[in-house]
Amino acid sequence: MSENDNRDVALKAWEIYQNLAKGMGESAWKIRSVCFTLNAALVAYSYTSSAPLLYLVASVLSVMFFLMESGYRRLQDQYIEKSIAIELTLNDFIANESDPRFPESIGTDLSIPSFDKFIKLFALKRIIFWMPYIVIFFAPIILYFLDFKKIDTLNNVLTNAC
Amino acid sequence: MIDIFTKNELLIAIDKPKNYKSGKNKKELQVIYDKMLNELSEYFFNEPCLSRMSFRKKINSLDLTTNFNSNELDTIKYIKGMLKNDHLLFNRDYRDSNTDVEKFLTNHLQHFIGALTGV
Repeated sequence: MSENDNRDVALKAWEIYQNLAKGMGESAWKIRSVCFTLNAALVAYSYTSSAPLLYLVASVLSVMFFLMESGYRRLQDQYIEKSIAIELTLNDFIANESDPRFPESIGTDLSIPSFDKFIKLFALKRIIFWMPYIVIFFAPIILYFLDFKKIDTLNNVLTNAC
Repeated sequence: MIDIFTKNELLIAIDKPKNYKSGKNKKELQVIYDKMLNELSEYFFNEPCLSRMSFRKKINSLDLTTNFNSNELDTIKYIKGMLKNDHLLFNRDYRDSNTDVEKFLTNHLQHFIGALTGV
């Protein structure tokens, strides 16, 4: 293969990795959107129906959605790493290196997300990822222990009595 | 090839690489490194270093068959290695890159500074 062919392969691989990383990011965002919508609905319903147990359901659901999103984020991170490795190759071509670096292999296969990578998602620099989940996990629990519910007004009591 | 002040600052960093993995020290090291590239660009091309990539392209395009003694050729080889790997010093993404600066200092920059003693 000529150098031009190698460069074209590297560029194409980079585009594929970028698209895959973008797709993973979009899926993660959709999971987050559903989680927040569901959480808000459950909290509102729990308040209006005076069923405080539903607050705990909202907290449990936030954990499940967090685990789902964290899976997608870890897969996305792997595609970002592949993309960065190819960027080194592209930079070597731009810089007229006589011997450009290439990654070990070009491929879309991924390793199984590990527990170590899961722990690294809690790093301070990724606060935008985990902080909202912390809030929607603890807020319903606090509301549950405060027994936060709609108070029946006198009108409501009289209406119900009639 | 480079100013004695620049060289001394880099030797301090090479001596204690763990102090430069993040924060204010890392930023100061980046500034000193860019200053060093500027001095090298003045030495080789009589012009300032406009960007790391443009300097790297010029170094890679040097005609090594003429005008350089054996010590300079050795130094150029280490400059190329250093420029090829300086992304370790300037990484900005949120991956765990704690050991990157240390690797750059102890592998690439140290070899270059060591080669300078022969010039």
